[in-house]
Amino acid sequence: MKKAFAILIVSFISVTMTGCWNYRGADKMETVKGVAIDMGPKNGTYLLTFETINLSDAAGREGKVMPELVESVGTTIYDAIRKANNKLSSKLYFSQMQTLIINQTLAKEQGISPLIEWFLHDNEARELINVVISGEKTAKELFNMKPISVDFVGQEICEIIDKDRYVLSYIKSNLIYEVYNCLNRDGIALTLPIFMIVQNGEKPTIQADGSAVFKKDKMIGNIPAEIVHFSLFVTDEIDKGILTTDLNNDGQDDVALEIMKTKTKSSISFDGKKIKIKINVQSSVMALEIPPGTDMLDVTSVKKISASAQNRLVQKMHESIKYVQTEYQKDIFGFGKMIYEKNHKLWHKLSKDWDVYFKNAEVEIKSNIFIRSSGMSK
Amino acid sequence: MIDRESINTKQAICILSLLIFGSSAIFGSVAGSAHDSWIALLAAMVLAAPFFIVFSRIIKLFPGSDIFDIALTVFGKIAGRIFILLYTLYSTYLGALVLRNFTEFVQVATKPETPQWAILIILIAAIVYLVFNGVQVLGKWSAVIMPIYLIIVTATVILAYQQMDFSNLFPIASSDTGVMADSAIKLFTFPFAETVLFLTITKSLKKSQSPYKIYMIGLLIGGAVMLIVFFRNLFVLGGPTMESELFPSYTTIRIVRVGTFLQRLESTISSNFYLGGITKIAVCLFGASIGTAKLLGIKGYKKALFPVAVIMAVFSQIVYKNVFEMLNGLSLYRWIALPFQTLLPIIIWIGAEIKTRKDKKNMKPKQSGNQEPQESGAY
Repeated sequence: MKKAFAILIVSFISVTMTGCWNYRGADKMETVKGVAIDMGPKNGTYLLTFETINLSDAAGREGKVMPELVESVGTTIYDAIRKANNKLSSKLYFSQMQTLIINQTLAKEQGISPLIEWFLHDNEARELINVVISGEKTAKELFNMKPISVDFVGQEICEIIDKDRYVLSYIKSNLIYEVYNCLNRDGIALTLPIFMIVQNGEKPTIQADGSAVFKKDKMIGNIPAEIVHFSLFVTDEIDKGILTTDLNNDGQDDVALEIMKTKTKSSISFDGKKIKIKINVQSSVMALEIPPGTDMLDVTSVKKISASAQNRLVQKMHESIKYVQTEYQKDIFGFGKMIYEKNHKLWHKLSKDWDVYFKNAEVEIKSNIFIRSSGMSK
Repeated sequence: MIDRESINTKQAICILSLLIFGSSAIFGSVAGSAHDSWIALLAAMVLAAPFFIVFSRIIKLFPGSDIFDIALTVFGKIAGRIFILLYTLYSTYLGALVLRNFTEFVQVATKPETPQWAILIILIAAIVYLVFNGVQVLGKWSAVIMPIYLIIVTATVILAYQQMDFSNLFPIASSDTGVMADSAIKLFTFPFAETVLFLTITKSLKKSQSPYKIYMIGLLIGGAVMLIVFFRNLFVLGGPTMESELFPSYTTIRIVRVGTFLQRLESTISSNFYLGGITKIAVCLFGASIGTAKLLGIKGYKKALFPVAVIMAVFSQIVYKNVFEMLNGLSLYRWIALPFQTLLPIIIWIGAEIKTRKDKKNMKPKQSGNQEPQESGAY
């Protein structure tokens, strides 16, 4: 009798008390992959475009999922999100959202803090959302492009950014919680990747191209991709990449080295008037393109190649720092953060005029490139 | 006679450690000092050590009894009853607070559409069942849960390694000393000094077991886990995000990913949170029901258990209006809790020392050693 009662209780509990209070089937959820924010038709409104997963073809046949674009206008971001439900039979579901694309005019005039607020507070939207700026006139036109390798632009942007660090290291990205940290932290200016539409043969597609620089949370300009690449050397954010150099000084690059490992160590000091920064880059590379006829077994040849590459790297890093110092005076490298972490009292003295100190900072760069091998052939 | 209600030292240490980090780990020990909170945490541990010695001494003087019996023995029927009433109220209050933390967590972080009372009823039912079956079951439960908890915490730290940025630790000790002292007191009252409630179940400890060992090892393990959790959160999230998040440990685990398939591990942290918190609320419920039983002269705490549990559950829903009151409440809570955690135990300790010395003098020709107090209610 007792046993029967116990079994009854256990089955009652396992049936009713495991699970959620309510549930929504996958067909009643409009899963969002990416969101684009533009200015709305009226002043003070936003136009949000959601790239959602259309599952209507998925059931039954091959299971092909198609992107579906939904637009909505609202006075705040969350207002626009809720108003989208006037057009949809299912509620928008944000846990799969990977990308947030922001219109650059909006970023310049309004700043991005109010735009990312909702995504930080909501428990569905994850902290791993990639925030990017659209290099075109609007943000939503990026969603009209057909991605090359996957079905959804939101996913494509996320994957381009993720794999970039293992391939090229041309993109400096920030997940949404890192954006929040940057905006609320001392000594570093925010940068976000810019995505544009380019022609890929006959069809247009999206491509990452440089970074947007921010003053506090307002965008003030953009940095070309190559400058971004060498700025990543300064901040030690390179995983893999390529170094090219011109060995025989004929104006044409003829050496390409693949970076296997690279480490940048920086130290900073203040002599009362100027900031002095010392940067030391240690890299280990593979020579994959060399001028034909070069004898890699000859120590002097190898030394010549690495010397040439070292000079090129140092020159390019100087150029990238100089570019940011003169064009924007914004410390995107985090030199201020280095001072704050070492000596916060000094930082409090310098922080008010940090842009000026950064502009006049002297940088000394040393590079050591060690050529480990030349691939499969000598 | 088989003693059904005894717990061995290992189980007692597990109960004590779970009492310390059970519900605090989800908040990540952030109490206002951002990246310097670890210094406040260490200061809180140092501050707690002498009080833990006081708690241990109280048990050592009267082995085999709990704080209610000691209060009656030392201060007599009337003043002793006042002590019992105060500690019963404190246990109920703390249990209600922790319950509220739980139901708020579920509603804010995981299931916003689930009403808090639904989670509350299921939770309190499970805890009542645990307490109903006695201290030994609680001891066995803790001994099983501890390794599970520790393994999950270790696993999350290892998985989080890739997302860690160790520069988040700097600058060290840059926060205002006043702010850090403030945080240290907050962390002292929540959670370290709450272990005073462990004294309500010490009836199940034998004379041969050393309470000093239990408290000190419990302090070390509890403090170590809180430090590890704090550093994991700090290195992954960074100062600004950690300060602004309601449940930093939960946010950390949302970010942790290894490759493409090992991600979204939030359920590990949530279940860990529940396992630890159930133990803490169970101890509070023990304290409250044993105290109530002693006050009302009921034999055995089981008859008082259900009403007290209902009161605790209802109170948890009305104690705060919203989440902001819950967060600000920590600043107020410490002033309410401090007398229970510091002043009252010291008074009891001094009273206990005087009483045992008096008894020793009186008992000198016949027997030496501590006298067993009157049993005023068997389990």
